[in-house]
Amino acid sequence: MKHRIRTLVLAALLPLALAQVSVAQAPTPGERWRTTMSMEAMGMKMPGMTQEICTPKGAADEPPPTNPDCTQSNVRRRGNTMVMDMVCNDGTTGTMEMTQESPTKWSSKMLANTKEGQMTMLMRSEKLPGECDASEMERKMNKMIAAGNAQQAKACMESARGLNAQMFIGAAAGCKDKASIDTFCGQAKTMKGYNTIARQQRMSTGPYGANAPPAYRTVIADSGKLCGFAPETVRKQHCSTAQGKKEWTFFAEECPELANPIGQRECAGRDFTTPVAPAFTDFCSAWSSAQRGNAAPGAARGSDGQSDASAAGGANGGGAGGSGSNVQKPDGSGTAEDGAQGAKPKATDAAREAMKKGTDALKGLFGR
Amino acid sequence: MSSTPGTRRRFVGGLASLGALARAPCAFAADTSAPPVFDAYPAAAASYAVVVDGRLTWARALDEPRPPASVTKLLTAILLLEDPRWDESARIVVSRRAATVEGSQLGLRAGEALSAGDALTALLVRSANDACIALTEHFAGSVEKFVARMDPRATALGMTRSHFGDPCGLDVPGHRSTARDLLRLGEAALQRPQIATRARLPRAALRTLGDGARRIEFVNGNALVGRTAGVIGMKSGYTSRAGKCVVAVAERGAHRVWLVMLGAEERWWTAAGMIDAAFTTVTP
Repeated sequence: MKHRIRTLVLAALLPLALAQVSVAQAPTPGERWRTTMSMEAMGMKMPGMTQEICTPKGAADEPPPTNPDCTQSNVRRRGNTMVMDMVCNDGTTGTMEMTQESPTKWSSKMLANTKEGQMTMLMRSEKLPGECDASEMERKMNKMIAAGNAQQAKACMESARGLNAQMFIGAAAGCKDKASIDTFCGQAKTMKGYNTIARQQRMSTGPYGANAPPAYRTVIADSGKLCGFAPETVRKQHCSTAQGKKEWTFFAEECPELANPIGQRECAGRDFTTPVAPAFTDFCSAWSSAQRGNAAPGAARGSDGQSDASAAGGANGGGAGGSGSNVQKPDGSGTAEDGAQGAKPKATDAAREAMKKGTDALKGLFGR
Repeated sequence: MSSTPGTRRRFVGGLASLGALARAPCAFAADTSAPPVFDAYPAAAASYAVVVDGRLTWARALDEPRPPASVTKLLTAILLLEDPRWDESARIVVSRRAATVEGSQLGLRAGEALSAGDALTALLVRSANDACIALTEHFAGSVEKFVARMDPRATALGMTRSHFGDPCGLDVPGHRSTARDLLRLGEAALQRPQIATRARLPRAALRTLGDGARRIEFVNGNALVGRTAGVIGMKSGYTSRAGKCVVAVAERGAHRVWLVMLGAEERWWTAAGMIDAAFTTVTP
């Protein structure tokens, strides 16, 4: 998002910006302007930001260079206002109005429709008396741009370490530098990394994935393409060692063809507080949560994003993983665990009802 | 209306100064460097939240009000400890109302006495409603007067969507909280050593006071304690309307995971698995 907005702003105004001095070092006679910019986008507002800047004298007479990312068209004039349409390569469209209020006062308004939503940018500019050195402005701007680039590189590296795939995959991917891509790819191939991106994909394709970034829907395959590995091969390699390494979360979530038979045999129907073979205690927890997570039947898996309905198939025996389970007495003490009312409740029914209400509420939330 | 290149150039040139701003790094942008929050366990509970090292990682119906059952007792414990008359050795006499309260109990008898400290242990470890009623009556004068203290304290803790109608978490109309609010409550409770040290006990025992004194042993209603690596408390709960609930905190190495589940169908296995999975997001 940050990248897109920045691109958008640049797209709209780069021709103007580039009208400034390009000679960085030599003092350049300039004229002073006070500018105020405010923005509103995707429900967020930025308060007005005022700066004094220096542009080279005569810049207004220089033809603006074209911006390769956006084209402006349908330029029309209404009195002292000029309006133009804008189309950018990333699909962003919008209009821009520029009004000359006086020879020394300008204002503009840009409305843009991006994939993430609508953005409005308002700007006012007033020429100030006196002269200035436009090259000084250029140096300051270069410094600011360098700082911004460094900030973005840092954010990309953090995203790579956290396998935040939307920054690397898809139309909105903002991280293109080799260092962060290498880091992302190095992570994605590990057991933990594969588990992370596979979760992202499952969450985006699952019943509550409406708010997922589009990039997540095919993140497994796209990560393979970006990084040059075969996802299904990587998954199977990790599955072959996960059990031995007792990496139960990975094993239960990513290797259902291996985990489910064990889960059915060792976990289904078992009470959490009754003895389970110690070797299976942690596995049963992982397997149970996997059954209630996005690794449930129908979840996307593998390099082609196809579902593997048989893999995470139904554990219906109650206890760990069983959808019909109802652990009533965790400590075996004979009374309901706490707070229970006098009449023995039908816990499962109540919980199911509650979950249905929650589901409906959530559907309403995402359906807006 | 058409415009000549020259006209356009003058407009554009006039705005050159504005363009300079656009070249600056855009400070106004949503931060996408942090992964979004997802419902990773849509079938785990009606509402849940998982926080890893302070970052909300997975959640569902985070702000949906639901009965919190005995998780309520964390707020009750905070209020008791903040009472200016709080004294661990205070003699708490069990009333008839306390002895006959429904739900989970120690089995205290009317007229029996125990220390406030022991009663607090029973409240937090065994989720004993009889101890809960006895404590609130002793320190507030009545259950109703104690309840009147709950919402203001909850609000002060930042629990903006909660309303408490019972100090023990029994189902009463309007008694509700949210996963987000209960995260705040859990964090506040963990700050108090008198709560934190008790909530992590797998089992405990107390001795009633006076004639006929007897020893009562009990186990922690939070089955994660002592069974799931790193779990250091906090509180579980169950009522027919609330379903199975738990607020748990676990620490492994330098990492901390909070889990809140409200209205769970299967709780302990799933909670343990979710906690394990949460740690995999931060540990090597």
